[in-house]
Amino acid sequence: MIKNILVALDGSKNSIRALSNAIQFAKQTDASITGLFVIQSFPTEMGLVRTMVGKALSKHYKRFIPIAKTMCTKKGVEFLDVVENGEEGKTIVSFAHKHNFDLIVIGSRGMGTLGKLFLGSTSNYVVNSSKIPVMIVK
Amino acid sequence: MTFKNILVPYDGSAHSNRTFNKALEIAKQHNSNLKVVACLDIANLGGWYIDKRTNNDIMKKAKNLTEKLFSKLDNAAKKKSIPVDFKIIESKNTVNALTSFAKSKNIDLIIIGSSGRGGFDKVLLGSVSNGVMQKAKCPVLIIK
Repeated sequence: MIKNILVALDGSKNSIRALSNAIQFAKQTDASITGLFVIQSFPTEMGLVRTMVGKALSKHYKRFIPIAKTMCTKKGVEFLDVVENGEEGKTIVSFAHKHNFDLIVIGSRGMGTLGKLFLGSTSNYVVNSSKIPVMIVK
Repeated sequence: MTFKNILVPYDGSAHSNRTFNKALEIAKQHNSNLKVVACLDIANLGGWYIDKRTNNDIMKKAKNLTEKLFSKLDNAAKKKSIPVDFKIIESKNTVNALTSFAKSKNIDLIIIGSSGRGGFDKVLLGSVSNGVMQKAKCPVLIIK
């Protein structure tokens, strides 16, 4: 049974589509959705430091979290938002494993900029390294 | 958008059996139709250097085997009263065959095992699942 769904969100169109698909899934099984926002940052001697991209995205997230929340509450699905610092792929996978999620939903391409022609680098990492089912939304 | 039609590529491996069971579970929750497809690769059967007829023999045997496997799955599905269609496709390229099938039958979701018969290790993602993931136009659920 799928009870806990983790949706990796970054505010892109693809991630909105991923969320709406996850809602569709959650409605049928009365599952709860956790939206995970990852702020890109790297470890240094002083602790985690946000990158330029991470700083820009964190502003974007502040606008996007209420949108995601209203999307879920409209359909009557429980929604919890979590913001984490770290490398995107690794953070998503370790968070999912730590909190016993049954399913990860992720958009096929997000905010990544480089030549991620087919599948995004983050979604590719998640698919390859997670131990639980992953749904890729196009 | 609802998950009305679900495509489950099947190859008889332990992984794909697990995938099928998961798909049954999901289909029950969503009241959806399952389409189970086995893709037989005609490109590299390997019998061509013996005799042309050898390939036909191999194909026949492969078909018989898949039908046997399908009948097992059919029993499992009937117990849970979920409508399942079975189909065998012969093609030269498994990934293309699966994605074009998904397109033509208006599939809403593809549920596929992370690795099957190909692939050297369970740690890595299989070539077929990777290809389907990249090329498919609909959401793809990958069962580990």
